[in-house]
Amino acid sequence: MIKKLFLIPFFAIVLIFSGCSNSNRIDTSSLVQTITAEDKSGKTVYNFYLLENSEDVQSISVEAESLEKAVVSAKENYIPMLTLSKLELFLIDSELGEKTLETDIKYISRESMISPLTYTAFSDSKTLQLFSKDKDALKKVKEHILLLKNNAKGLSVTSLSIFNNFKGENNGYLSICYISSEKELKADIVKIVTQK
Amino acid sequence: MQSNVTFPSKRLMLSLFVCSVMPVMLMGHSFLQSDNIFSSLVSIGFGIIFMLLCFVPFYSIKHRSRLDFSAFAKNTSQTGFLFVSAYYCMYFTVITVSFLIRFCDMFVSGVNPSANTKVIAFLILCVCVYGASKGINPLSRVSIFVFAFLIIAFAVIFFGNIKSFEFAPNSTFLTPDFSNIQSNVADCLIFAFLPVVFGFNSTSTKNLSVKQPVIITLVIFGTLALTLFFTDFVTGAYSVQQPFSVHLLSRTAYFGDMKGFDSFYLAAVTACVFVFATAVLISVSNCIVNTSSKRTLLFVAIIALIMFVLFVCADSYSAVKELLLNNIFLTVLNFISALLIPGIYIFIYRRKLYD
Repeated sequence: MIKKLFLIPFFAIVLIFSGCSNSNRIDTSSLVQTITAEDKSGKTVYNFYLLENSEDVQSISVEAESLEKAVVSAKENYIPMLTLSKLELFLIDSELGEKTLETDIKYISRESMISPLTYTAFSDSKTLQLFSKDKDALKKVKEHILLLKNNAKGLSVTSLSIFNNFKGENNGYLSICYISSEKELKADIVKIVTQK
Repeated sequence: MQSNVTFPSKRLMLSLFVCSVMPVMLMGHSFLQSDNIFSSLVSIGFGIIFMLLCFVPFYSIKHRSRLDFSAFAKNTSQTGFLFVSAYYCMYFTVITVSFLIRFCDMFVSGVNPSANTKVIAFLILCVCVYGASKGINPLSRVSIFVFAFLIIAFAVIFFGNIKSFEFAPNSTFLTPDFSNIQSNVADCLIFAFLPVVFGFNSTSTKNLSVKQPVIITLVIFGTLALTLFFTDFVTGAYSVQQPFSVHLLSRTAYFGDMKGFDSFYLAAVTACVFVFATAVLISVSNCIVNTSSKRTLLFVAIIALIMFVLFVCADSYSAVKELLLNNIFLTVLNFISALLIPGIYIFIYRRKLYD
């Protein structure tokens, strides 16, 4: 009995201290909620919007050829502990085209930390700029995507379904969301040809 | 450690089911690598037949002598059993480390890439040595709780993925294709460690009937088939990109705004690993010829240390890791442990068995 009374707190202390390390603590300021890919004068710029925990929108912008390279660059140059485990939305400028979408979706599919239910859509540049000003942009865009998904059959809104439909035999095309905000925030369907 | 307290053999079967869930939950994307129903069904069929065959020698010994294989073998020839027990200690070490490696790989890829797997393996083995000191009866009681939690975890994972379920088979699904049949069958035969665990722990059980091993085998492979079905038609080609299919399945489950139930998956698989490792260490303790419980515990601790050393070797040398993760190698060991050695014992000592 005395041994158990001694051993149990001993093991608890060992477990607690073996897990504690400043270097391993995940700072909420390194959790990315939204990623947007913009076309700026022919160059692709990836914007990482961090988990909202203040009045201002916190983000980092990285110029890279692909999302994979952008993540590496962001970790090296800005936030070493950058984490995509809370990623909820990935928006790509429609100017960048489906090649960028396919490459980046393949990267997302390989990363087990990124949720397969990450919403992915095309968008116009005005919507992408909304994220740097409006804290609630993520919530508004997600609402529009969900509304469209509930009313449209065969629409791929998550990285899982987009990846599978790029691979699958689905009449040679894939339907994904297109978010625009010319007059107001709106979600439409756009079809991408997948058959080669 | 053998005990005089008997408990219903249904509880032991429940423990075996909990142990069997672990390879199902830790199956990689290469498990049954064939997007083809015929190949999958044939492999599962082979798995069922082989596992039932492996139960036969241990069931016969228990039915005739009311002893498990280890107790029966000790009664026949203690000297002979020394060599046999050495082999079985090696066998239990290999299968434990094989599944510990899979668990740690899942932990690193899905939870914390910077986790120290040696610490994880060490802690699991330490806890399981303590659990092994208590015996199979308490473990079988713990299995009841773990089983209840598994039902909840599976319900959450399957029902959470119902809305994403799309029965859209590709053109190769219904076309007979047996190109990967060898590795597919080997994948299903790894479950044959369960009859060996049964064979080393069934002395204290009562009311064993022939339908219990049959039912548990069918339930295990039914769970495997259902999991494969969901993996194929919910995650589809995406699962090939990820190392652990069921982990992915738990992340795609959602109920309205509530998403990602990988915590249920992690808790369930961790509980199963603990039950499995403890059951194996109890089997190891039954390998020892009569001695005091303190010496038995020391022996189990030494075997656990050997398991840890093998784990460290596998972590450091990829050739060792590849061998331990090779399902064909495990199948050969299962064949020797579950069929060959007990079969030889039954043949040589058949008079003693039937007297």
